[in-house]
Amino acid sequence: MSQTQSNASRMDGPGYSRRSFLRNGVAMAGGMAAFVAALRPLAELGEGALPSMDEFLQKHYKEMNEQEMQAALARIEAKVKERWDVDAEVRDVRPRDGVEFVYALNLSRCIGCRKCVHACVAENNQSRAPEIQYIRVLEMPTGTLDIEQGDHDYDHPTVPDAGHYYMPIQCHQCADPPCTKVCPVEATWTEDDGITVVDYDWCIGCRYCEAACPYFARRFNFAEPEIAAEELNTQMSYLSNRPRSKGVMEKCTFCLHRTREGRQPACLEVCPVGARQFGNVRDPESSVSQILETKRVFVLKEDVGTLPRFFYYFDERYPRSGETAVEEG
Amino acid sequence: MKEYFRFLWRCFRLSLVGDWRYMTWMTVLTVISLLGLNAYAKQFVLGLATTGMTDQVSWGMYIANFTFLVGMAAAAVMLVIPVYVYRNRELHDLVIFGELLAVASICMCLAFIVVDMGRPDRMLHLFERFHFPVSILTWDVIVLNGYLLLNLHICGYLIYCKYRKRTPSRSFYIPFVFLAIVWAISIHTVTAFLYVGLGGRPFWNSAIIAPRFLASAFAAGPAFLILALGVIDRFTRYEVPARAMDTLRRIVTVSLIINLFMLGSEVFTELYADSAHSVSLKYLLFGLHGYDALVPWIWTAIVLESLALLCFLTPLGHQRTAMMIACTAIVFGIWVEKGMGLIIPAFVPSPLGEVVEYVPTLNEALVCFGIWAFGLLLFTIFVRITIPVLSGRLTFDREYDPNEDLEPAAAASETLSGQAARG
Amino acid sequence: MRLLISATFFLLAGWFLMYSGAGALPQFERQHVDPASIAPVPRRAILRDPAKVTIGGIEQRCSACHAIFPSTQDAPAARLQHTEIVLEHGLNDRCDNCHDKGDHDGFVLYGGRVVGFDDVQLLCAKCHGPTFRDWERGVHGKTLGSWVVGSDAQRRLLCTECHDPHHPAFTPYVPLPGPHTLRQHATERHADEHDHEAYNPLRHWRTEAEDAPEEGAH
Repeated sequence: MSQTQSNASRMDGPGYSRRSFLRNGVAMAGGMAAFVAALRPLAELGEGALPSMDEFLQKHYKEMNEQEMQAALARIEAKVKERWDVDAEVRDVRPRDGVEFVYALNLSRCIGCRKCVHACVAENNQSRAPEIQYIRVLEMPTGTLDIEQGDHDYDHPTVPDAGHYYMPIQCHQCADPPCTKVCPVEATWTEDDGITVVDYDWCIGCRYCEAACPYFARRFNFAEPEIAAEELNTQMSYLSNRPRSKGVMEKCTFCLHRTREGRQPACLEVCPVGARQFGNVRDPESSVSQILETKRVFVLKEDVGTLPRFFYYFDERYPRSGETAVEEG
Repeated sequence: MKEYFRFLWRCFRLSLVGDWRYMTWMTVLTVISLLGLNAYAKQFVLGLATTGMTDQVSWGMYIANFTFLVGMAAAAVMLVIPVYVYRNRELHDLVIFGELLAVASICMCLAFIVVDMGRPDRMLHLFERFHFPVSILTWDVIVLNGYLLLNLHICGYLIYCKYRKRTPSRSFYIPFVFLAIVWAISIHTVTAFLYVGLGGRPFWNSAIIAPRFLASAFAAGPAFLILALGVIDRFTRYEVPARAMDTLRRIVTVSLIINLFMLGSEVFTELYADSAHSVSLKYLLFGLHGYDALVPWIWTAIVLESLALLCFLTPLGHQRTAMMIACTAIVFGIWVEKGMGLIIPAFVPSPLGEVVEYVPTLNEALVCFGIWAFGLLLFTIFVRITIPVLSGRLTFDREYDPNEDLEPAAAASETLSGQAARG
Repeated sequence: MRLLISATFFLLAGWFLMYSGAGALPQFERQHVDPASIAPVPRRAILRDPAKVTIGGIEQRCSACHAIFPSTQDAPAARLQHTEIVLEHGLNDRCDNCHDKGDHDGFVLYGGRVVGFDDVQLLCAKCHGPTFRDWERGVHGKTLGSWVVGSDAQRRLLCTECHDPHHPAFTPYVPLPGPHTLRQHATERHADEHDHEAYNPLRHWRTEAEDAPEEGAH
């Protein structure tokens, strides 16, 4: 290093006065101060907002062994207790062997009452504010199957409304799902019984799956989900209805915490007109197998090639009866 | 090695000195960046509900800017081809500017991706379970980061060699340069394939998207470079050869023609058949069911691009001022066309036919401005370092006076004010 | 110059510290849904064998009265009792099509066989054959409890647990609230166009009366 060079970089070199140094230093300090101050909102991060070391190191669902899964479930139960002061039971419910689920929906029966929508919200601990609903009921004008002509916001005094039929749409648990293809971290995949699931602790929130889904089935938590303690369903499972955090995806899971134990999904049980049928398509005696055999079923957007597990059909023999004098329900 | 750290230290110090215009520019950019950082901190705490995105329109300004900037980064290669493939030595130095622009653009792209993520704290999951090669997003991660490293290496190596007054060894950079040419095409193609591969979005599921991306990138990138070189030419002692501006202008003109032709082609395809699949394009151009937020934007963009093209096709385009205005129009027009004209309409209507319009919030806009300001800050620093090195004034064996690089009049006023300040 | 820059940064820092907390998100509207409206219970509660009704505070079987008092031959027109029942069952306009004239505790099938309330589906099957066959296979109607065919937890609902036998058509429901997602109404519609039916093949053949409220500018 030559002498002139070292002079240039030495602070007491000829080109450097004390005033200059102070001014530089103050400007730098100002810059640093402004930088740190810009991060002020981070001071308001809630306690659970940043992951704990255990959560940070938690593995993908498929890679966790029994012990790690139990630890994860215990963590979730503890968090529920801390946040809502409620004792929850969180399990890891596995698929049954020899079972592949299929859902069938009779469009001649659905009256558009939206009970399924809200039963699902209650069962799956979805955020009430901002609102998340997995099921979307479309009011379709008769004469068309073009779902772009559906009305999502219908609000008649009573349903069904004349000249319309109703089509509830939720995740179809496709056999060739575009959403699982596009996830960069494999946070969503198809299980052996056909249900497409999301590992809420693995999702990075890029929303590529939401862009890929042709059925508007996936939902994103844009804010921290808000549920009241008395609204919480305490029977939870890791892959379905345990509480989610902001920044992750979620969707209908065919109530796998119920259906994998033989029970019916919540939307089916609440339907007042019996429009929904659910079961194991590998069992030829099941209602869904019978429907696929005997009814003229179709799927939405068949041309996209997703192979949905959700089949729609009409089986009207005569138009639905209209208004009546006797009020019920 | 020690010499290298000294070089970096000198670069750092150099980025903090300059005339009043430089300091004002840097301060303004820093302030905007910090405002953006603050807005992002709010978003980090509250979640993405601070943006205008919804389940129906789940990608917005962040991804729109990301898409545009990937194009800008890819366009740096447009200078590489005439220099290295056609052996145009005159423009040699400008390749570095182009690649520095690419580096700054890629940094901005990565920043936009991070701010768009719902859980950025889980970024390491990308390393633990990487869904390659099925997910195109993983391809994007690889090509973008690879491109960044490639350009950092090429520029870094060439600049450091110049600083050390060494002749760069060809094997250390020529193969990388040719790799960068191919890689640049790939980054934008892969980004295009992100959208093209989604069968559920017919607006995107069209083969023309990838070529259109490239055409618009090769119009906007060189246009931006023209603007940057114009500023360098005007405010520093570095003289940009007229030949360089000319080459860039010709590239912009041809790319713009191709881009507008493709746009026209898409419009005809969708609107003539008038099938239900064209509903997103109808929303963009004419509004849908009474929702028409994007209509004024896209038509402004089309008009601006067309006028700019006309300008370039006439002798008017050779004039410096007209060229600058036209390039600004092009950059803005393509930004609108790619961002609002390509990303947003695919979400309107939703796959179930619902129309929910997207309006960015103030917080979201601040984050975007902040990232742009940060990128410009990076680019300015790169240029601030590169010009003295390329002109031979900043080398390892001599002291450097910043005043040397300013225009004579400015230099005089600087020394006067500098003396007064120090006096 | 440096002083100006320092001042700018310090002012900015001060502004951040004072005014830029994380703030809060706008209040999201919460919808209230009555939990009773989404309870997974059958639509109707039905009588089971042995069917009893409460008359005058005493639980009695139907045959208790009908053994004493003769029923009119022209029911439902000439009824003196059970006048609250409105019979709107399509072509089925006689009480004795279903209720056995001899044994009022049961229902009459073809050939005179009488069944109780627990086998009411056989009664409905008299006329509604295809629907009954669908019901037998689990295709029509509702199954609570389990999808596993033949499991004990399965509870197949009987016909009358959904359909009022005297008025089987479902009465309209009040729909529960529709979606209120984020920023659903972020922008205004500028025209009240309803070209929903633009591509509906039926639109040319609807009657004008049906068309009138929905026809748009198309």
